[in-house]
Amino acid sequence: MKFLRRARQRAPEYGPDSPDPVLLSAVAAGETDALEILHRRHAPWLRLRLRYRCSDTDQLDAALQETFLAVWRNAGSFRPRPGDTDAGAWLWTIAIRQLISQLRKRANRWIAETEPEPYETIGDASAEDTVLLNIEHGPLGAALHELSPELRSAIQATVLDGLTVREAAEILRIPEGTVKTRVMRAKARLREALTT
Amino acid sequence: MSWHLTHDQLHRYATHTADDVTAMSAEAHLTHCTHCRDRLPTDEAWLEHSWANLLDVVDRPRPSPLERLLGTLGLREGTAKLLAATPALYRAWLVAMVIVLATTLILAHEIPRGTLLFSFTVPVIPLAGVALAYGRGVDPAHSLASVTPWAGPRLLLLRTCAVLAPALTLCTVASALMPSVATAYEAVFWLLPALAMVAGCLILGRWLHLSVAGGVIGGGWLLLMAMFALMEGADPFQLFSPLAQAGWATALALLAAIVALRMRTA
Amino acid sequence: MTTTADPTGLTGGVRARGLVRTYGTRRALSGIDLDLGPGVTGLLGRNGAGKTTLLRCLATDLEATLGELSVLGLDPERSGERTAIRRRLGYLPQNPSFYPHFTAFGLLDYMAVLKERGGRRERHEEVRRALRGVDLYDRRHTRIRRLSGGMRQRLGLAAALLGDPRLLLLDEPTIGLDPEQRIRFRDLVSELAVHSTVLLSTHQIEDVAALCRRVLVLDQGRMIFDGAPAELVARARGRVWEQGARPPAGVTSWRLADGRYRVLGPAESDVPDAVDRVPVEPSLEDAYLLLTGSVPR
Repeated sequence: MKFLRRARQRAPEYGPDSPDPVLLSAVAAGETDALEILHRRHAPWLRLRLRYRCSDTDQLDAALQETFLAVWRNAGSFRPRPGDTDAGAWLWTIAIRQLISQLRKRANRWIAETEPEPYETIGDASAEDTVLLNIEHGPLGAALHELSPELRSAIQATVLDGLTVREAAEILRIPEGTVKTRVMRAKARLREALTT
Repeated sequence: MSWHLTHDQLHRYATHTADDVTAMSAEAHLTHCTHCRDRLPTDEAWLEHSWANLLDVVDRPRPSPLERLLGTLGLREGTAKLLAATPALYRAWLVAMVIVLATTLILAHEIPRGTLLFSFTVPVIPLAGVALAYGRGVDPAHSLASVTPWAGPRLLLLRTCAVLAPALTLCTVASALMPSVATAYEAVFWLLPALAMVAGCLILGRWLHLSVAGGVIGGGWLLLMAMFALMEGADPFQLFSPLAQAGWATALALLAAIVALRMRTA
Repeated sequence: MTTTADPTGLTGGVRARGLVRTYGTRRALSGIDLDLGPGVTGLLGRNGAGKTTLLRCLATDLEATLGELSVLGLDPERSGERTAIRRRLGYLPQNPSFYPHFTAFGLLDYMAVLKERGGRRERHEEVRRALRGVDLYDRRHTRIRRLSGGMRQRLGLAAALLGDPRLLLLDEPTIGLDPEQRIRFRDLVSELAVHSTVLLSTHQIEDVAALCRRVLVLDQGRMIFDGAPAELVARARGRVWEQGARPPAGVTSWRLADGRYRVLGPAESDVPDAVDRVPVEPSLEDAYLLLTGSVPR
């Protein structure tokens, strides 16, 4: 096992109520207690959410463990948007990718093992995606109801989970081309439903 | 954020009874809303267990290179730790061993009766290491370690192994570089007396401090050598003759049996 | 691994009868009778009174020269039983020293291996618990050579606490601790003493007053007092005074902050000119000083 403790940098003052960015910079300075606070704060909801994508709790817990290990290693690479005190979205992008790599291992499919891309905050979603991300507010819910489960899951993977087409293909176990066409069809349907 | 998930929505999401669209809606919201996240139920037992697993990885002290090496040789992690944890004097002995071997080897090549010095220094090198490996005064943490279940003959034997492994290796290498040595047998002429002396020291350590025991045995060795040097018609090298080697082997077998017996009963 | 049901029946504390330990011709302990059960017992005595020797005998570090000794219901002279004792023993030696190049975590981990504490994972968890117990968790990856004296003392204490000991022998544990740490230490020890036998050798009489229901006083290898602290204090009643005039030489006394003198001595005064002499309630310290004969009887 690779050794993970880093040289001590100066850690900021933090406590159980500190915002995520402060905790993350403390983690970057090697504070395990800060990691524990983050774990307590985020692990439960991440786990619930992962559970909707994987029913095997062993794999799920392994993915979560890897998620927080990745946080431990890469806490310094977290760049909050100005005014953002929450790392939820960032953590989710890590968690879902860790789950994919767990599934990959389990499936034992031969796929060139590539290091996951550096984790970045979802910040550049298209305007359309932003609308989609607001399903909780608008009439979108009803529109989604009209979609077939296949189209819904394609939308979920690409827009909501922020996966690339390739990753979505892996988690949904369908070819990449199918993901693309399903997303296109789903978006067209939604646009139709929302504009009429 | 003014809008929040209802209690019912959260409950259905958490219990996995939400339909796809509600779940998507809940997830889109939860990604950004700390308030609703905190309202989700937490499985405390799972959380604690999961954290313990994580801490075990992130807060594991780095095993020393030696520990890792011993680990790859198949030793148990705990044993490797005990072997690798050695007092400063042990490391000083290692350095001294290299210096002594190098010096005597050079002398053996350079001066006429130089091989004599080398031949009689090599057998006491392991002995010196063992004498400095265990006990009050030579091991700073001895007062803490001496009343643990591992203390006593078991720990002593383990430390002895930590001495013998490097000592035997280096002494063999040095002997092979001696001017007169041609065969493998000649490169280990010192082995039996050295081991017999170490075993004797371990046995004497039952009554004496190990350093004192080492001193006594080492003194005996010097005396023996002086006797052979001064005796009419005798030569110190007779101590390594085939006949003497048989004697050493017998002594070693006897002493080793006593050590083993003591280990058994300890 | 912690065994809740103790297969060896290590429930008893310490029982000694006529315990003698000699160094050459010098008797460090001459005939100690002692029964110890759960709770904290204080061990007082001057330097050289035999406190450390007694502790080392109980800790199976020294063998008694004469007498009977049973520790946790087992005989320390038999090697098998000695090992069983050592599994349930916590011993903090006087001025413990360590490997300075080890980290605090590394040292405790090493000690835990020596104490045969389970697999790596459980061992590490136990080490962390012990470090938290003595408030050294934040310094766990600091090398010992960089720790202060008080921290090293606490590290020694943590080492003693490893392995859920049933018998805890502490030789001068509070040296180098600041008042807050000392309070924490007392708290920790009292908690342990609910189930374990704790023997605390010390010069800090306040620790004894605060922690111990029982106190032993050793003098020249003999037990000269064994009882409750209050009992020791009661013996001194009527022998402690305060007065305005400086007492003559040869009388144990010291100057108080208000300029008066506290005098320890016999009731019938050898100090004729002490007109304003008033008897005061003795402290445990007064009683101890009177008992050990630092004062003419």
